[in-house]
Amino acid sequence: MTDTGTPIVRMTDIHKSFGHVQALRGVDLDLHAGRVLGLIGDNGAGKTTLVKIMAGVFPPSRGTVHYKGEQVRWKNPSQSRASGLEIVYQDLGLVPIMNIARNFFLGKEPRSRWGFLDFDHMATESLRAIAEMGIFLDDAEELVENLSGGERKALAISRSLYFGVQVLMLDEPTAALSVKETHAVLDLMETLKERGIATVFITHNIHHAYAVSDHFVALNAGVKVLDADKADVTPEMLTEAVIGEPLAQVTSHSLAASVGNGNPEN
Amino acid sequence: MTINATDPVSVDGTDRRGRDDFRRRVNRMVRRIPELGIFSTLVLLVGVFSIGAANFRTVDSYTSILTVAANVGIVALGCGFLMISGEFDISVGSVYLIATLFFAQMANAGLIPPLAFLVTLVLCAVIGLVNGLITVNLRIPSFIVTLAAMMFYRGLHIILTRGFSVSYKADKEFLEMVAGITFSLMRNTVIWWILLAIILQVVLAKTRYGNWVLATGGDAQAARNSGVPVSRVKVINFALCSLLAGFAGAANMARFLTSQSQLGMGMEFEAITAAVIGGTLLMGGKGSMVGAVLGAIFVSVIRSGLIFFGYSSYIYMPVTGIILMLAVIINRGFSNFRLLQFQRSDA
Repeated sequence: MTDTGTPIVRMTDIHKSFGHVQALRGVDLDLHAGRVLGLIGDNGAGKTTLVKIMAGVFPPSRGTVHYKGEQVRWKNPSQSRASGLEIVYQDLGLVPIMNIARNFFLGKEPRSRWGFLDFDHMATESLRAIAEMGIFLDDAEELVENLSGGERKALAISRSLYFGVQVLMLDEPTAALSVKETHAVLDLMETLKERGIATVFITHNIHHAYAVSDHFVALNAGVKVLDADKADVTPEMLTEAVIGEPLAQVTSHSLAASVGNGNPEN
Repeated sequence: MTINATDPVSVDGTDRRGRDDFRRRVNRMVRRIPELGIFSTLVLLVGVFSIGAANFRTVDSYTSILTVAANVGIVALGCGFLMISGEFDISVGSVYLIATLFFAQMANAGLIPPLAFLVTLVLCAVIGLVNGLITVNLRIPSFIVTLAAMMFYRGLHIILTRGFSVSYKADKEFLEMVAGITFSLMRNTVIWWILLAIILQVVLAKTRYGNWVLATGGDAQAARNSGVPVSRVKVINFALCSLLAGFAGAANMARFLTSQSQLGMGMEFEAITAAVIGGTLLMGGKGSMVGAVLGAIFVSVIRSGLIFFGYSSYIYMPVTGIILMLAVIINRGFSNFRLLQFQRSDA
């Protein structure tokens, strides 16, 4: 059921240690275009480490990453970004005291004939792209520090989309948002699905993850303890995986095999 | 749960389209022309001084104010540009000093003056380059790096000259172009200053590099995440800052024909003051070259005005200190004002 077509990203047997700390121990993970993967786990479970490896922030200690069927060894995040993978961090990578248009095109500024910034283009394109996320802003010169949390997320995500992202990793995108804004961000993820983006939704909020994800991977102390389609799990099972002992591994496969005894094999 | 995509209501429920009220328009104008505040204050100040002191309202007085302003103003451009990218350079006074010596010695040694001038600028840019590379690569605060440079180059000057002043003895024709009087009213340094300011203002506000400078000072990590070569931007700006300090120093030599070791002392603070009064944020991310020009004129007007009003020249320092403090508060005040204005009802 998971394996509908080839995965756009396949991570195999990923290990990562920082000094003596084993952050990840043999994690496998597949991402598919047009699907949201809920990557859940408690603080320190290794979620962010895993996506940072996917985006080339640092290499894995062991294991391989395949992107579109080919093995990749990113040297840095710029390289992976150029290929269409991007992390939208919790703090978003926006410059608060710069305006929307300048932030939107930061690092990829369009230039007009004389080599100067093309402000008209920057203003209309940035507002249009953000509007596609269902967020309507009317002044591209408004400073980002004056935007609400949800508007900032929309800016950051629409910027990634505009520049051709194919795999988007959202690091705790609903943290520190009001209820309304959280819903708006969850709606954004539906938009990402429609656009055919492979999305990783990193969160420790099970309910947010459950609302939009198609598939779940739970990490617990660096070990994958669950890998299942939405149809096969309940929020309670996800919570159990996140806070339980990090020994048992639950997959759609093992769930199917273990129906009846309720005790997933390792 | 879903928000209707055609509804012009942002996620917090505020209608953002129908809010083009007066305060917002004022806010937008302040944002577009941030120099408006310093400009009107400057006009007011010149007005008061002109009415109050007959000596002040003469063409000679105005042009001498501009000439004095140009000297520190050229340095303020570089300091301001660097500050916008989030770094400080307090070695500019010493670089200014060492430039006078470089220029004089090379010209005296027989290098043709334009070339001596050019090599001086290159050497000063290299000084800035070194400051920048140390700051960026060794992650030492630029305040400390340039404090060290400030002592080093002033000390170097004293060692090289054994404390004596060095005079310019070469051909003086080129000097006229740098700091002479072409347009009967003011020194050419004023023209170079304004030209440099215009170029830098355009670079800052209208080019890709300018966007990188603003982003680097605004939030270096975010800029880096967006692919901005933050370290390179900073190093380039350090070099630019020292180059302009060198330009001002060499121009000073062209005018006074002498290099002595107390030249440029305290200049770093005057330059930073001018930039800050002109709206440059101390923490970086915002500022303007037009503002820095107005700031330098402002400081120069205060200095001359107080003297014309018969105050002792000692009062200049404390007055400038108070104005600097006020400028910082006002700079911050504007952003507070903005925040208040757009406060949302979100939780």
